[in-house]
Amino acid sequence: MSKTVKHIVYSLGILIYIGIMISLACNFYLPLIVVPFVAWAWALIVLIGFIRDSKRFRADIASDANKEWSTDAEEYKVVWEEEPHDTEWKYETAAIIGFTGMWAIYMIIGFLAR
Amino acid sequence: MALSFLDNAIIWIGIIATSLIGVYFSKYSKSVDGFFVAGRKMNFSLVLASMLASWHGISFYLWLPGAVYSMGWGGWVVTCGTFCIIDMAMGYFFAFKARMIGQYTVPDLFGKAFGKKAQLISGIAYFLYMGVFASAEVLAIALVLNFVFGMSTSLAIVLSAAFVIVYCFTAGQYAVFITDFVQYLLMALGLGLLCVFSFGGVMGAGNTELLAKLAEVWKDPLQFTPISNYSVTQVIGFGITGLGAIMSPLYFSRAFSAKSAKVARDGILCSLYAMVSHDWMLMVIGIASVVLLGASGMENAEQATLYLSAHILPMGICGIVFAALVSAGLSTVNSSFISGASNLGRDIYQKFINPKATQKQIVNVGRIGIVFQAVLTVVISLFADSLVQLSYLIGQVAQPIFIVPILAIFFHRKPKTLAACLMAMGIGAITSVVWLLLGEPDLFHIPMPAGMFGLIGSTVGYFVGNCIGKKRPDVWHALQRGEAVAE
Repeated sequence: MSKTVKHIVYSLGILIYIGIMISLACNFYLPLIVVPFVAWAWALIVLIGFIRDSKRFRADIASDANKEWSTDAEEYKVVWEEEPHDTEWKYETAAIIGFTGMWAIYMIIGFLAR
Repeated sequence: MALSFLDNAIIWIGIIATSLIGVYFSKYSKSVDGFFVAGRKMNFSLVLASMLASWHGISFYLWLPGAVYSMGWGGWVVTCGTFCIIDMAMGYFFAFKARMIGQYTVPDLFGKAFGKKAQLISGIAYFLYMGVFASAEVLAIALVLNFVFGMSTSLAIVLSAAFVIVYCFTAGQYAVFITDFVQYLLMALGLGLLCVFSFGGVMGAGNTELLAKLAEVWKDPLQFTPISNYSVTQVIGFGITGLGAIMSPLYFSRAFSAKSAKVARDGILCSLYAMVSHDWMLMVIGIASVVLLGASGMENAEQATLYLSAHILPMGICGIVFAALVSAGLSTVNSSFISGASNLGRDIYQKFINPKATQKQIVNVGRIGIVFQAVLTVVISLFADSLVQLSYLIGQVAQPIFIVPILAIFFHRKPKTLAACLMAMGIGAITSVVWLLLGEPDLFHIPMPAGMFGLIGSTVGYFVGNCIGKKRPDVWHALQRGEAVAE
């Protein structure tokens, strides 16, 4: 995916989620019709991703079929790496802040309504 | 209820085919890495699918629509909202680091941070915890099989555990990931279809009429607000239960099995956003149950999904939905069994009983662990009275045992002692059990669920314990400098 397409898709995803949460707070349930399609879109992403990656995946795991397992177990060697703050990370951050913010608004509305 | 031959066939084909796919991958499980962490080769799609399938169990699929049915859409906000936030925080802050440090089990992290004895004790505690955790799922699968086939609950409990044993025993974590992938697709398809049919049944006349129909059942106006008429104690109690994500081996094992730290982070986080869409589908199902089923006909609200499916779905679709529900249960149970297996094989056998064990010996002990785990799960399921009560008790007692040490591993970047870990776990367990036995009274007029009281006890225990005994250097500082961490 090019960077522009990523920006469009990720922004659209966040907007859909925030739109549904706002409509719920207003007790307006019609937008919930998109919910199964959002879930199917995720499933489609997973399915297509798996099919596209299946050749590499099969090659990756092929060596595990020929392992000699009567040998001693080895400890996992840790290699330190810094977390990349890439495009995905930025949108993941925005999504978490957005979701937590909406939840906080729900709590405030809920307690004020009593 | 009597299902058509086609629906019955779909359900059984779903269960048996998934098990066979799992068994096929046994040839790749000939090493400790292969059996416990799927060779650390799981890509983004598999991590996302497996995370969702294992975390969203059938008990949740029955519970959430039931909560919405009886409490209003605030049922989602209160019971799942905090879960979602903690889940996301878990993926955001922990997944990358957890994959980087690698290992096999959560107690491995305890071993690195607090020493070998902490690994043994937390390994035993986690083994027992996962047995109890899986029992809520097995009980829920039995509920569905009982509803659909009229099968006795005891037989259904044994049968569901047996199906999972077949592929977990042979192929370990590889089978878990691959079956989770299939089960996730089935869950998305089945739940989506039920959601579409539910929506079609209730939204034809528009939003105003829907609200009027809901008001006939939801008599209290608070049921139309985000936290409904839940008490403050319940809101805090569900919040504490939501903290369970921080300690869940289901999260950590997905991170350990990912092919890279970035795949672990992105896969787990994206799975959480996909989970929210499943939450909302369950919410729609709960709202539709109110309108289409009304206030009568069910023994309890947890059966809303089952009754609605039987009520509105045509032949064939009904089978897919029930197969999806059973898949949701099996995918959670299999992850719990493997987690217990790795606790026995890695944390107890390899680390304490036979440090020079070959990979084959460790895997075989892990397989024995799967059988033990299944027996434990079945026994608890047979004696559990209520799904909701069991889930609540698990949350209130287990969280105070594990959460503080895990948070300390990741965020308290100072030297730590073994006593800190042991006192946090021990005092957390004792205080939460005592508070439960006392009936969870308010403390100085502040609502105090047992889990919250246990967490306070655990935190105090951790900091007091950290003043006792020899301190070990912080694991992250050591790793950052490229030093090996002694256990």
